[in-house]
Amino acid sequence: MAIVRTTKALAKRIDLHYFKRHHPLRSLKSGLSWGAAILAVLWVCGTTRRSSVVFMNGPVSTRHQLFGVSCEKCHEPWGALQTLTRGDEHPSVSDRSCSACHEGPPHHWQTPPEGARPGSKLSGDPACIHCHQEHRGHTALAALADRTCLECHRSLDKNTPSGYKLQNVRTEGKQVDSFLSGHPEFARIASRSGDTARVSLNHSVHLRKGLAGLPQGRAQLACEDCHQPDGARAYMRPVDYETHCAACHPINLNDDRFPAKMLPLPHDEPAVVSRFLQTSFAALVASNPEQITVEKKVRRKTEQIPILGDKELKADAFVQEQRKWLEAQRDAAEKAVLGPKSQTCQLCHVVTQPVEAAASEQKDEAASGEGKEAAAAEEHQKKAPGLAKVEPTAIPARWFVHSRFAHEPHRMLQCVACHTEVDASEKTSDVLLPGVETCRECHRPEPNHARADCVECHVFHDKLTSTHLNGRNTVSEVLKEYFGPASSGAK
Amino acid sequence: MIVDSTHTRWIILSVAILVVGLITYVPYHATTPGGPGGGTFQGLIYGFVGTAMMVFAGLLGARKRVRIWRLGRAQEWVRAHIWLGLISFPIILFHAGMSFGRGSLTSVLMWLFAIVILSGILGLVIQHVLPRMLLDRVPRETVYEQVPRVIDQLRQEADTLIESVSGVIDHPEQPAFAEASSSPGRRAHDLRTRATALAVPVEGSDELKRFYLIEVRPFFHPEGIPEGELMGAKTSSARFGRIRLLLPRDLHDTLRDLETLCEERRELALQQKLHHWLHGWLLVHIPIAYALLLLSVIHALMSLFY
Repeated sequence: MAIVRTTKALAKRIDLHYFKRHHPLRSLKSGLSWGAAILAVLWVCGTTRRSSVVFMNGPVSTRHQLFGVSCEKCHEPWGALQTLTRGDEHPSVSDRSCSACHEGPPHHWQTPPEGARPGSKLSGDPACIHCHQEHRGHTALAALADRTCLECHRSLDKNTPSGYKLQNVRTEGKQVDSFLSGHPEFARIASRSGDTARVSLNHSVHLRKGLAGLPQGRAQLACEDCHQPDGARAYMRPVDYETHCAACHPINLNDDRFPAKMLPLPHDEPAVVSRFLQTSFAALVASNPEQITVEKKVRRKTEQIPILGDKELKADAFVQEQRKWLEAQRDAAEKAVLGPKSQTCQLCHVVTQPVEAAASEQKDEAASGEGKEAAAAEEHQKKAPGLAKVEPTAIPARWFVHSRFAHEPHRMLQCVACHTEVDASEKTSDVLLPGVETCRECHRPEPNHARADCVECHVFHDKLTSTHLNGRNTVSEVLKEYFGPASSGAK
Repeated sequence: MIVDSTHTRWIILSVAILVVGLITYVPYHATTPGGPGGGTFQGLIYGFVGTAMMVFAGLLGARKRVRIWRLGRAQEWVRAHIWLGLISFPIILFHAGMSFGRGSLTSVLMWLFAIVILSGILGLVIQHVLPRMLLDRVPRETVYEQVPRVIDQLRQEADTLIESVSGVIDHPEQPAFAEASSSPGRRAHDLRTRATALAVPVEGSDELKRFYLIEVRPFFHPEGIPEGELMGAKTSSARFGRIRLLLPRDLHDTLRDLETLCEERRELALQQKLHHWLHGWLLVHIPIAYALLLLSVIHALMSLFY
């Protein structure tokens, strides 16, 4: 019997109501859809119960971890909506939010633009988060990409958007693209104005082998004998006479009347030295009154007779003679130490004699608009009338004031590796700092080289003007501020 | 859906949107300090446009569910779904600053989005290839949902065929579609076929009956896709060839008819397999798309608030 399929039989093959019934594939699709949606909601609810970190577009920066889950600390409600409606840039985090904790000192100015109040933010200055972008992971907000700085400083000859132009920078029309390309020579070197410090120093002599007065066993002075890093091992401490110079360059007044035939003098202001001399001579005469002599004619001859032996001298006259003698001794000693031909102070310092000092002070007074120099001169005259003046050394504490440097990371280098001309330097005016090319030997924006970002050396904010906005707080006060009263109560 | 000339205007529109996005993104990327992000004005614009496209693509499900909506032809909706959905991904990438999300939610969103897009592309490719394959290799294609029912009918036809030459077959199984068999018309048909089957068994039909009950009848089980020699065209032909040698000539026609039924069953199995491929990607695409849309709404609300 063969199979016979009639049209009717074939038509009956199909159940006309099949689409009304649930089919496994359709049911599975529907179930999975609901399941995925429910799972998504449960995941969000579950994670939100612990913290709102799930909504963040990346972890907050390292310094903001303490309050990283409190969005409202920085964001203003519906801020992003304002971005869309008003076209503002980043209004959801305003400068107001940042300045609640950070003073955010303005960009350091060499010369504030006209009309700008020093320390104030200019209208063209960018918003905080224009440069410091959060939610980029555990990074430092200050570690900015070069292009952030180059937005304003690509062309150093032109004004920045806030109307500021860098001073003393010679770019020769070049554009800065990176530290390697277009960065000008450091201004202190490019200006060729030399070291204007008012102190005499010959590095070449100090580094000579077999120098007199070296400690036993030492053939030569090393850089670190005089130049020692500060506590942070960033910059060098100022050279200090007592620590670095006194061993080889003692300050003495040669006088046979003192023990060891000399009087060690303090390394201080002329007025202090003067007082020290007077005190020393007073002590000398107290122990040896016969030292004081007066001129007297004896048998037509002028002789120095100790006043103690002058029985005709009355008590008042004795005191007066004693004072005169002390002043004479002091003046003579001052001349020996500070006088124009003396090599005691003037070996290193610029000493202005009393007449010159007065003229110099007048000149300073005329030159100074604010009268600070005049006040200093007046002070000097009050302290030491008629005394010579030791000019301030004016050695800069920092050479590159618009950048930061740390010697510590460079400790594997010899000093002369960067300060190459030290051995041959004979003049104070020699600037012995390394130039930009020396830095570029290691600092290049290339693999296997030290970093060369702008922020590696330059900082935007003038931190010297920064203060603690809210003062210093206790731990519980800080926790209360960040996490509410419950946190502080637990403490 | 086949991508053909009817897609042209959607392709042009999508490419135009992408080009505009790219032209605006390049300077935005170059000039934004710290790199672009979703919170900037331009980033939010990309996010807004991308989300709108995603939501529109997601509305295809609603359009299909509510067939009485007079909002354009369903095919036009599918075209828009394909191209706007595809182009929404690069737009959202522009919104995210070409990153795959830096936070938990944004990362999850981007990965879900990538899965939705990739599964969609896979689905589009499958829909280009498999329907043609179905047409070529399954000429007796039927409605997918009716395949088990048709298989059961094939089994009944095979039962009748074997009973016509070997008498009533004694098998323990109940019909798979009891409700279908119990319908009045169906029952009458069964009675007629069984009446004709109460014939005297043909000599030598025992071997055929044994072969049918042991090997062929389980092959007509309506659930699942069977395995074994009968599933392959060549192995099936060889198996029937061997059986043919054991049967008297009178039974050869019956055996040929049985082989034809097996062939039909094989086609239906292939149809089932291809259908699973043809629609299986939707089991990934649609649920993930639902989760994506839901999480996108949460992300948008939270982002706009903060």
